[in-house]
Order: sequence, then C-alpha cells, then structure tokens
Amino acid sequence: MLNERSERAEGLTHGAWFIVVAGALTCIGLMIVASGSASLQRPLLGSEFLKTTFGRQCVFVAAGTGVMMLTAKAVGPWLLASRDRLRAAAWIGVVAAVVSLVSVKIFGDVTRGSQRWLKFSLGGFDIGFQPSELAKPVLIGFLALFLTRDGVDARSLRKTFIPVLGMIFCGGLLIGLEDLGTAALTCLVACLMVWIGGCSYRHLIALGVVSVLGLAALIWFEPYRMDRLWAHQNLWNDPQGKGYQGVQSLLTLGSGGWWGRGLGAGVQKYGYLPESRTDFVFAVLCEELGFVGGAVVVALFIAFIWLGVGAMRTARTGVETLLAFGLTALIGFQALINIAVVTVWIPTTGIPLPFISAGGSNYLVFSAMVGMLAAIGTRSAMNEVAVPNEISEES
Amino acid sequence: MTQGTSRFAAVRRRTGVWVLTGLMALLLSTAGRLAYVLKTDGERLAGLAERQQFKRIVLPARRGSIFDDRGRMLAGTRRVPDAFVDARLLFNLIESEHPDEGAREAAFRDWCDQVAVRLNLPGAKVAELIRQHSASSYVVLKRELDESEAAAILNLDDAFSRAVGVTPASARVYPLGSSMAHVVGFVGREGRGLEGIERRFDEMLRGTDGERRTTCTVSRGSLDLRLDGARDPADGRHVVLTTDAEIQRIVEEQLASAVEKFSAESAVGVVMDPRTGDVLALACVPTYDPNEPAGSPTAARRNRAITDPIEPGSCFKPFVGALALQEGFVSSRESINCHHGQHFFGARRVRDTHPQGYLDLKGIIVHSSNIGIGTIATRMPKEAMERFVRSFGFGAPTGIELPGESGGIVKPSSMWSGYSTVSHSFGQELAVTPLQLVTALCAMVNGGELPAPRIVRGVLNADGSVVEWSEGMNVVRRVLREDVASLFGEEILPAVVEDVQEGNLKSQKYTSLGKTGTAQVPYPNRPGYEPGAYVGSFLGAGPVGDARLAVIVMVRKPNPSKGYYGRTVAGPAVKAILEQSLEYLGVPPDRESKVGVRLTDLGG
Repeated sequence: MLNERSERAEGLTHGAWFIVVAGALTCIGLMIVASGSASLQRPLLGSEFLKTTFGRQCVFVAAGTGVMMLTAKAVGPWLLASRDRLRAAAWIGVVAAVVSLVSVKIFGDVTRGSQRWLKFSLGGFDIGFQPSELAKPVLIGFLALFLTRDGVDARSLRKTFIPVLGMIFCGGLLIGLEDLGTAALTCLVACLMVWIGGCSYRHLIALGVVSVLGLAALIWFEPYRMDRLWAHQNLWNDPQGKGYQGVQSLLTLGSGGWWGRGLGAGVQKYGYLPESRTDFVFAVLCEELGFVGGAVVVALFIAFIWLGVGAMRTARTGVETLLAFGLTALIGFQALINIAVVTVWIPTTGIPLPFISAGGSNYLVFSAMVGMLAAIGTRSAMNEVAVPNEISEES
Repeated sequence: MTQGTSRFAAVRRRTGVWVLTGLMALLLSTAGRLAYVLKTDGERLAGLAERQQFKRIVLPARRGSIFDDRGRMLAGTRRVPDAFVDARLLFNLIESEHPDEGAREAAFRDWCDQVAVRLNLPGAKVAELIRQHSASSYVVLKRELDESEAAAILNLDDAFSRAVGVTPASARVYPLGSSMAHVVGFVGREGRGLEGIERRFDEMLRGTDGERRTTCTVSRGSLDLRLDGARDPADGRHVVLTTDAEIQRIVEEQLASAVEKFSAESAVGVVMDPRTGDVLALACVPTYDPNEPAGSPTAARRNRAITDPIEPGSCFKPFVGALALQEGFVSSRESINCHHGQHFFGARRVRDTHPQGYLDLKGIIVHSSNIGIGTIATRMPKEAMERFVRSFGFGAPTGIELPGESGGIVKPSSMWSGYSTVSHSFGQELAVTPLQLVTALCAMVNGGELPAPRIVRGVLNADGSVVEWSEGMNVVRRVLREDVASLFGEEILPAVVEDVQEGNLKSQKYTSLGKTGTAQVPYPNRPGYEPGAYVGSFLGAGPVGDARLAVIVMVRKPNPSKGYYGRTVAGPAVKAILEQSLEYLGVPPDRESKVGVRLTDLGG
C-alpha cells in the first residue's frame, strides 16, 4: 500500500493517471490518423474537414473526452456509490446491447462481408455504431455484479456458474454472430473474470474446454475465417491475394525500420495498406515513428495495465475489483491482439487498437471505460487516506 | 458503503494481479515480436516496400542526327506527341461518377467519341482499344499527333479528362527518303538502330535517357521527387558522313537507269575520293524507304556494296599486272603470246573474247586478254599471287564504319590447285566486294597507297562541338611504287577508255581511266555458273593524272539479249557519274580545249 501513496504524492490521483495515459495514447492516435488522412486530392483542413477521417476522429475525441471526464467525476462515483444504481445501469446496458445486437443483424450495413454497423445521421454527421463495442463492457459490468451478489457462494455450480456460463454463452453468441474476434476477446475476458471472481476451478476448466470447442466450430462454419487462417499460414504464397493484408502490414513495418520515416512521411498509407487508419493503424505508426514509436505505444499500454493493477489492488469492494480487472484486461487484450495481428503473429481479426485506431463508437465506449476505471481508482484512493489526497488533487 | 465487503474475500485479487501482470508481459513480447521481425526480415521487407513504392520516370534522350559531308540532314528526330489513356483511372472515374451501372456504358461511349473526334479517329476504335487494355494505365490511342490534335486533347476538360494525356515521343525522319538508305539505315519502333550507320553508331546516336525517381501511391501518383538516381537526359551525338547527297543522287540515278535499260536484277555503285579514301557515294538499286522500312523486302535492304562478295572477273587484271610488273615477273615492253584467243594452261582451256597475237602488258590490260595475264601468272609461285591479292586488301574487311561488312573470299594458297594462280589472275576463284575493288583502284590512281575507306567524317556533341573529326588519308600500306602506279594510272588504264573505239566511253569534258569486267554468276548452292547470268562491272576514275574520283558500278544479271559486258552495261553509268560529279565538285574540265577547238571548227 505504500507504493500507491508515494505515486500519489507526485500530484495526480491514481484515477487521473488513467486519463493521462489514455490521453497520451489518444494524442498519438490523432497524430497518426491525421497523417493517414493526408490526401493528394484535397487539403486536410478544408471545408470538408468533418468528412475526413481525421476530422471525424477529432469530433469523436472531443465527445469521448467529455464522456471520460463525466464518467470519472460524476457518473462513475455516483454509480459506484450504490450497488442498486450499478445494477440498474447494468440492466439498462444489457437491454440496449441485446436490442442493438439483434437489430444490427436486421438493419445493419454490410461492410466487407460483415454486418457490423448501425448507421445514424446527426445533422449531416454520419455516425456508425458497432453494437459489439457496447456489449463488451456491459457483459463485464454485469458479470462483476453477478459474481459478487450478496449471500451467494461464488463456488456454487447451480447458483453462480451455470447462470454465468449462460450469460457468457448468450453474449458471446450475440457478439459472435457479428464479429468473431470481438466475441472471442469478450469471452476470454469474461472467463478470466469468472476465475478471478472466485468460481470453482473444476467448473472453470470445463468452461475453457467448451469455449475452445465453440470457437473452433465458429471458425469451421464460416469459410472466410478459414481463409484468414490459411492466409496467415501461407502469407507469401499469395502476396497479391489472400496474403495481401498481412504482407502489406509487414512491408509497412519494414518500411519504417527502427527509427521510422518521420511523422507524415509514411508511404504505405497511400493505398498499399488496407485499413491503415483503423485496424492496422499501428503499422502506419511504426512506419512513421519506427520501432521506437511502436515501443512507446506498447509501453503506454503496459503503463495503463499497471494502473489497472493498482486500481484493482486498492479497490474498496469486490465489484470494483472485478470491474477494474475486467475493464483493464479488455483494453489490454485488445491492444495485445491488435499488435499481434499487425506484426503477423496471429491471424487477422478485426480488432481496433484502443484509443489509437480511428473509429467513433469504440472510442466513446473506451472513454467511458477509462472514466469508470478513473472513478474506481479515485474512490479507492479516497478510501485509503482521505484528507491529504483531496488537497493534492486540488493543486 | 458496506454492501460489497461481505463477498470481498471470494474475489481472487492476487490472481487478478498475476493475470494482468501476464498481460503486461505479453504486451511487452509484442514489442519483442516487432523487433524480431525488423531484425530478421527488416531489410528484405524494406526492400520490397521500396520496390512497390518506387516509380521510375524515364526522360528520353533525343537521338542525334546524321548529316552528309556538306551538312545536309540525312536522318533527324522530330518530337511528336502520343495520345494515351489511363484506362484503369478512366473506369474508376466513370464508376465513381455514375453509381448505377446502366449509365456507365453510355458515359464511356460518349467520352470515347469525344476523344476520337479530337484525334480524328473513329469512336468505336477508341472504345475498343481502351476496352482491350482496360487494366492498363497506358493505352496509346494514336502516335505522332499533329499540333492541333495534341492541343485538342490537352484542352479537353470534363469529369474524365484526367485519364487522357499526351506524352512526348520521338519520330525518326529521313528527309531524303530512299536516297543513301543503305548507308544511313533506319531505326526500329523501340528506337534502336537496325541497319547502316543507325545501327553501327546506335549507342552514340541514342544518347543516355535521363531518369527521375519518385515515391508513389498505390495508384502510381507521384508523392515526391527523389534526389538519388536523378539524372538529366544526355542527348545523342550527331554523326557526319563523308558522303555527298548530290553525288549520291547522281549515282542512284545512273544505277536506276542502267537497271532499267538492261532489265537487270540490281546494281551497286560506290564513289570514293582516291586522295583520302572518303566514300562519297554508296548506292544499291533497288533501294527502300527508311521512313517505311517494312514496306520493302529484306533483300532490298542489304547493302550489297559491302555485304555480298562476287567474282571480280577482268576488273582484277590490272592489280595482278601491276604487281607482276613491280616484282619483275614481266617487263613493260615484253611481248607475250596471246595464242589468238585460245590456249591450254595444263588441261584447262582459256579463251579470249577478242583474239590477239602478241601483246605487251598494256595491250593485255586494254584488250583484257585472259591468256596474256594468265601467261604472266604462270611465272609466279602461288604464294606470290596470294600475297599480291592480299596486299590490295582483298580477303579482309576494309574496316569501313558500316555493319555487316564482308571481307570477301580469298583461299589460302596452300589450298590452291595448279590452275588457281592462272584463274586468280583474271579474277576467278575468289570473291571481293565492290568496295574492296574501288579501294584497290584508289591505290592505283593516287600514286600507289592503299587507303582505308572512310564513311564517317566525324562525331559532334548534341550542341555541335566536335568530338572526333578525320580528314586526309589513312594509309593502310603502300602497294605500288609510284612509277608503277603512274604507268597504270596515267597510261595503261586510260587507254581502256581512250583507245578503244567500240562502246565509246570517252567524256567530252574529262579524261578518265577504267577497266571493264564481266563475270558469270555462280549458283548460290552448287558448283558451276548460272547460264546467262552475268555481273557487268566497270571500274573507273578521273581525271587522269590527278584523279579526284574513283567509281565502281556493278550491274547484276542484266538481260543478256540487251547486253551484259561491263563496258556496255556499267561503262556508261560510270562515265556519267564521273562527268556529272566532277562538274558538281567544280573540277575544271581537262578536255575543254578540244571541245573548244571543235566548236571553233564548227564555227569556222
């Protein structure tokens, strides 16, 4: 506990550090997205600014920052203060997630073979909303609550494990219909939460086996996923076809080398590397800022997880502990998978890099998650040593 | 504030910390993975990326011109634009402009029609061309646009005009058309010289293309100019020939009229300056137009003056006679029995067309007696005869700056039969090129020095400054003593023209000398001669005493019923060439007095 105290003595609360790290990642992301939005056809800052990826990202970052601060300072503490409020919020979230996940299957736009987006237009500003992004934190929040119910033994098969399994299965299925990568990620984090939440190891092993089988089945029945796996195995056999994305990602990394070509000087973003502003933005970052830039980003994510560890260790309640763990793990795993995909370590899955990839709904959701983590961090700090930290926060 | 604490113990907090620590380790390992990729494969990947991001823009060098000795342009390069379409871009533009597919086809056709009108092409052809190469970003619609067409394309301004453009291209032009085609040669579609000077000096004429390197987007748009490897084009050098387009015209005219008059298969003519070895004209008839080389058969493009050796026949006698005299195998006054037109050398019977009794060396040459020259030859060892032949340059290429020169065929004397020395003496059993013959004649009329023939006067830089220039004679060797040379050049050979009444070849204005030759054409692929197939040749030079020009004309396969003797079929052409060319060169006539006298006589 002494560690946290000395950290806090630097002047920022533990919660505030979450926002600082997320903010740093966001700034790097904005820079790369701005660079990636450069076009030979029109100036970046022009009348159509809000139609460029960068312009849109600016709007999302502005909105996201608002959401983050609001969650950190007001909504988060207010919710955390009462388990009933948290429960109500979780239920609202569940209903919203299920409704949007179902409706995306019915009304959603098809992009590159996947039906993932609900599109809205807000006074001419198009917003694409990806329901799976919402479903991830909702499932985590719900699990955190469910695993810490009053008077229920977390080791119970009937009272805890079976219902939890059902939740994960339903959530995974709903998300998986739309986006297998996100589903796998969510299920993984959910299972870890069940473990951390105190379930019996015997049940957990059974769950692990079932999850792996389910995942295999999903891959087996959706041929394009097999293609992705195949492409990963034989990347260089078909560099212009199935291996194109992976090969271009590697070329982008190689093009940057250790020190990078300089911010804005990347070339692969000009049409060579698909998804260069979203799922593969990390490659563009490495092309422009080199291994050094990539390492800085990785270090920031590690710092973020470190903060999550701190929040978890000092959390006042079980639900906060589990929430801190789940949200941190979700962000951390997403970063891990994204970077592993970009460096062609694992097959391509459509997982954006938190805070850095351009994208509307996922940035807003991440902002809310960071706000929540900040709120948890701040609350635990207040609990630990009340008065001195109030003062340092003011200064 | 107390609701969660009751279940607090159940949460495996420490396990969670370990899991998150593991996650941090995994994240750290992605940085390791990145480093691993860069370390093990980084250079190859960077190279591959570089290769796809890199674009070379070639800045073509302008091909040098070819001039004759007086600066007349024989070959030049015109900058003419090509019109091209970026078909890929065009279809992309149409697609983005017209979301529904039905409208695209109509828009495409409309646009093709618009472009076609500006290029004076049928619209359907443009559409077809673009469709055929729909994946290409460079479809040439029309080459060698004129100015108005190029302007019309550049002024096109609609939604798709970005897809069409005009690039500078070069067209090789030969202002004199077929004249001197065999010397100048021509250039193929890709800008490589394929024949003649164009081929021999291709590298020099072509220059070095310049280059710009740019980084480009996936749609090949240039992002920035790279400084490494940027190079300006170095325009090609100009080549100046020793030939004179006017003398060439005269020769071509005479050859053509000889071919026509005697219904011959072809004719070859070469004019040289004996004082320097400069080739002033080199012509083959029939000829071809280098502007349209594909429009003529390959045979017409052969430069037969240097590529096709033939038996020289009687033209060869003076060279043997002169060296025999110089080396003492015969004296100039000696009378040799010519056996009245028929004599056996061993088992071989040799005949003369004009039977004679006793003749001296001059008589043998003037009357072209095979028996006479053969008798002199019997006195020589084989080796001496071979040496004579080779010392005049036969059997080896002259080294003229043209591609494909043959050295002729001279067998080594070790392979000769007992009769070979005799047959060599009147120009059989060996083959020589017309150029070799006229070069050898130069040695006879310039005082005895064998010149190296030259057809390239010099090379100029693109800006006109001189790189190389050569004048004067390059002497290969002295072949004849001056007294022997002047005996032949000023007495014996002039007599062939002056003293023989039959088939008068005397010019009204200039004294001249010469030697006739009539050879039979051997079968191309079996021993023996084609019946009725002759090559009539005439070697000539003038004026006597200070020869300015040496000429050979060979007429191949004239219709025998119209004449085939060298004197008949080639003699008049040589006479006309000498007369007209000397006049053109401003050489004062050396027979004017006679003409003058005659006019006075007439007047009186």
